[in-house]
Amino acid sequence: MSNTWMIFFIGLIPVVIGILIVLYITKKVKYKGSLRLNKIVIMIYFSLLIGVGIVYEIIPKEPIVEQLSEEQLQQLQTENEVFEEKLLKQEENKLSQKFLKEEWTHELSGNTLTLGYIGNDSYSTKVVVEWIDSTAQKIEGKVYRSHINLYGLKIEDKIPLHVAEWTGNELVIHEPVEQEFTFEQFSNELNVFQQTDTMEIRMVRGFTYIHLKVPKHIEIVDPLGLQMY
Amino acid sequence: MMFLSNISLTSVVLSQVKFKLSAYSGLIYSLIILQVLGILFATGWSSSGTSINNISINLNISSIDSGFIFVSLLAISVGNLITTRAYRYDDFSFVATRLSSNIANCIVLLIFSCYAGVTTYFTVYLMRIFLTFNSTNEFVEGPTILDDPMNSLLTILAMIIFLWMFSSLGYIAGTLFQNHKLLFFGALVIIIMLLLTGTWIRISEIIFVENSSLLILVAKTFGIAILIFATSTAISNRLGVRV
Repeated sequence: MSNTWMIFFIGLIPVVIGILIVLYITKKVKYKGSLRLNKIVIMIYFSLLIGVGIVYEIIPKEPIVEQLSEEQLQQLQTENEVFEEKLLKQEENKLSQKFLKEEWTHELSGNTLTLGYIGNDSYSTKVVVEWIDSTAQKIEGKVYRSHINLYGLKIEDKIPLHVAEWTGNELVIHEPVEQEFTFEQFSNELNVFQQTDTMEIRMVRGFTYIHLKVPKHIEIVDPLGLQMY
Repeated sequence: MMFLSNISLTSVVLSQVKFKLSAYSGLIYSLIILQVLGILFATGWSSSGTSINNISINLNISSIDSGFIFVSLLAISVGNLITTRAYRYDDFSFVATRLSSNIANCIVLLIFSCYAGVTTYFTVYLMRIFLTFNSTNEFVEGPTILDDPMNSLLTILAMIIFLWMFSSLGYIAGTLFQNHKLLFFGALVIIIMLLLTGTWIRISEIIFVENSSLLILVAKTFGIAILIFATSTAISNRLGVRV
């Protein structure tokens, strides 16, 4: 038996279980009970559900995570792309300052700067080096993070920043500590009725950018390939 | 032939509808049980997870899909049930024709579908209230009836029409089965064979998938339900008198 048929039959199991449940209930539940009682139950059940609907509408519901529209996500994605483009061209004055998270300077003791990363996903961080004419040992750094949005949820504040830490001549970027967030969403729509393809993954995966201004005589050691050219 | 009084088709149908609504009112218990099951299955019906920067994000979407699926199965079952001999014998309480009986069944199923559609839609609020007070997770803003009343009404209408169409499927299956068991199985085999053909899949796509709006889908489904009920009526009119 091919895999397709196997998957088809496995997929049928919940359907068959559902049908069996429905058949069992329709057979077992007594239809011709007291007419008066049935009418009362029908009225009470209907009123209860409508009442619950009204109550839900009026009760305060906080905190609620805002969800962005597809257009808004597209705008965030565009802003991210523009930012990266400008950063690569080293047009610092054109960079959106809302992405700037921190800035610092560091004095190197030697002529070598090592880039390190602690964490699982080194691709989440990109280092852009701008060579400057200077004989000093001073490194200027700016940390930016572009927009992050998962499933349209406005949760950027919940996602911690990478931490850039100097240990001697090594700039180590630490990934945030592992955390898990679960969100609940209610939908009044039936997916079976959806006429448009909504399976599009609604995510804007921003990056952490470290913009370094490094004197030309400094050599950079980048074993993980964090640098972006 | 002369009668002391002439009763119109409408009044016969109305009497039958009233009678059947009362007689089948016990279906409410099946509906409640299945809607409760739907709520139980609905929590986290659709769940997605991803991670970024070592942070895992999970999104649980609770929708009315599961409840709707259960109630759809009930609609098919009820459509089939009222064609069975025991239920057809109820019609002997009236001076009625097969046509009036079929029209009454069609109307009764529509009324049941309306009740089931509206209540199924609102069961999601039971779940919302429950989770609001019991879940420690954060909630994502979602549309409520007040935010988008037209869309909510359209969804309710779509659910009603779909349930009616499902009940019509049960009804035609029951009618065929009552007419001749072989005819039922023959029709079933033909339908299954059709389902496996590319043409049928294309037709299904045109009817159910390629619609510019939900309203068009509702209109098409309504038309299909009418067609199925009309076919059932035509088939049952050919039934001989059997007591």
